[in-house]
Amino acid sequence: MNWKHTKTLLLILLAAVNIFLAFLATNFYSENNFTNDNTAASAAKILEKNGIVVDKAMLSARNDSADVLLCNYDREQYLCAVAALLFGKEADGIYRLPNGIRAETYEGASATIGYDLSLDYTSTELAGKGEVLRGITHSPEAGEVKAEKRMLETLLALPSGSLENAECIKAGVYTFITVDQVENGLPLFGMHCVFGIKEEKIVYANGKHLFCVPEEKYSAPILNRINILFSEKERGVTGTVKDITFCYTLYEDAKTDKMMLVPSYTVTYSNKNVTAINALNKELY
Amino acid sequence: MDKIKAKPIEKIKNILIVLLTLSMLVLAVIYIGGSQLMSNRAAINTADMPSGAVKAGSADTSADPIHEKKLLAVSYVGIRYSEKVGGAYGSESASDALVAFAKEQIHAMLSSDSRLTPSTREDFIEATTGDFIYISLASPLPYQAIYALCGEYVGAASSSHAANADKMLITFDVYGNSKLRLSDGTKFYTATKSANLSLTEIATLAGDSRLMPFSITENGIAISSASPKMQRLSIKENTPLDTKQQGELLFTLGYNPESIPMAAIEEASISAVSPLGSLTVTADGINYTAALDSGIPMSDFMPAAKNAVDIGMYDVLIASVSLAESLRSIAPDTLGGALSLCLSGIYHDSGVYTVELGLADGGIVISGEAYPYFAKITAKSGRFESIDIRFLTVHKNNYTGSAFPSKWNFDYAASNADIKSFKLCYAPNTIPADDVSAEWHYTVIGGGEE
Repeated sequence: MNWKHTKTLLLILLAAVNIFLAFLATNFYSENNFTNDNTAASAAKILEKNGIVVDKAMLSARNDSADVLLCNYDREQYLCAVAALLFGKEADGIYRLPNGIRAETYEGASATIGYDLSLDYTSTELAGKGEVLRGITHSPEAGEVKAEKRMLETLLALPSGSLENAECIKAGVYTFITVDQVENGLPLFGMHCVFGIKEEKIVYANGKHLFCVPEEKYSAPILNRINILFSEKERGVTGTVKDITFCYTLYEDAKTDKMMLVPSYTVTYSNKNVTAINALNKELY
Repeated sequence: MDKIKAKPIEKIKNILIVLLTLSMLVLAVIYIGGSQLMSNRAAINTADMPSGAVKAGSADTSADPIHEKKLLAVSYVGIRYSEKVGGAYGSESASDALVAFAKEQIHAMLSSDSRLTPSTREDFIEATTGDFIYISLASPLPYQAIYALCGEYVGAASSSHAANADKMLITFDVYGNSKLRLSDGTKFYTATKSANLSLTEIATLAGDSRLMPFSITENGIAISSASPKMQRLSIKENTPLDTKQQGELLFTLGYNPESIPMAAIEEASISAVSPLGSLTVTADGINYTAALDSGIPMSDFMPAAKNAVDIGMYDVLIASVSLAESLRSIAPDTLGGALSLCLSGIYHDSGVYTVELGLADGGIVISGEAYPYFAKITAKSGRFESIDIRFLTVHKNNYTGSAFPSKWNFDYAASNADIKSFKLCYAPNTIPADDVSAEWHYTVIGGGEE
């Protein structure tokens, strides 16, 4: 047996197997984990024919993945608990509204909390001070509000450092911090709230915020960006797509008393229309 | 010499074999790992959401009693108490608490132990000089319907007149004793029953800093110098129903999808004739006309079956709303999209009830020649005689705009007309339409809409 020739043959075989495997792996990732350039270009062409103009670079991207997250959520209990958290004590009076509740304290603080997770809260001491605050606000240096941001992170049970880059305004003794809620690195669609704090207390809140921490999760297949834009096409939407963002939208399930954070996409058009689409069933949110 | 030369080549070969073997293993792991272990493949088919899951804040209301379905489109609400005068447009959140409170009182004063007696314009206007809560609706409704939509239905007040109202005034004295006055701009009524109001609650409501000053005109119309806020709408081309939706629609209306010839179910439309009557579904809407002595049984849409002779306005209202909701659930985007249902009118003439349902966003109704109503349903003897539903694919734009204050527009319009009602509504000239904002519209006493 000629060992030299056997080695040469083995080398050729190994090289061939390597080339074959490299081809398979490249093909797999370009076809499955990514939407490749050709697919993206063809999809963009079809969409354009139907009135949706999109840059193929927005479609030629790695497929997104995220779990569906679940929080325990009982509407009535939740609203009362949020009121208590804002007041720092149980509310003295609660009025049922068609879309939520209005909670009040004997001291004059009031909060309107909606089923859609909207908040409109003004503490006793801030009530009626709108005129005083006007004209005396300033944007603080990052270091100036570090303590307030850390405190708000604690009050809202947010991960440490998550508010580091949050927008902030100082108005006398009050600090107003804008919280764009994020879970597992993904923004929560529409959950944008301005919180005002003073001396370790929330004195003002306006916007939408979910005061729940996800406790369970499950994985589900996610539709890619092309599927999402095709669902827009089916709905007859037209326009130029400026941005596609992967995010979470919120669904409540009264049967199981759960709030679900469902992977979704927001599509922003050049006319400033924004649509949010469920990435599991492509329904409009 | 050859042996000495051959050695480095053999060494290189050995090294290459080892390297290629390692590379093969790495590539195999990348490929197998990627495809089996770390698969990030996009979904091929859509996945179902849990059956009860709805968008946060929009809980499933189909099982709610009718008074909790927010069918009463309120265009303005105001309060005057102890020198404080303030009101809010129905599209603003500041109106919510006041509307909820007013509805409770109206329900109490229109209950069965009350009676409506004719009154005068002068009495209505005179009453606005004291403390009061004022509420105006997007369209005039019979007082029985207002009662049914304000609270649980037990029995409505009696009246010797068919009283309609879109303006209501609850006046109260220092002890909280109240009186209800109703008007449609031309006729005026007073309810005989009084309710006892909590002055503490009234003080809280009147103290809401979000309310803006307003006044009431001689015809009982509230006008304000504040600009109403509303969302702009985008009305899209309707998408024809798909085969699954067509099947569900036929089934909901009592037709057997299996028995209808395929030729009658085309890609975008259905045309079916059965003993129930004729049904046409196109991309524009649904049109049903009952066959002679037939019709879709209302009992299919009522919580409990009732003898046809016992069916009254309240039952027709429940069944019509349930029918509209069932159809909306089949293709929510095409049947009203982001807007909610509201009651625009309900009439009774020669044993035939007519229910008109509209689409509204926060008290601002879609109206006008291009889209006069969402659904017009007639019923007689426990059966639906005709159903006319107009599809509308409408989305709310993210932009919240504001219209000119009602006072400016009213002052201009009132200079040459006797105005009966003055409302903010979306009135698109064409469908589809982009960026539709609400505009002020008025009706003239003895005349039409401007």
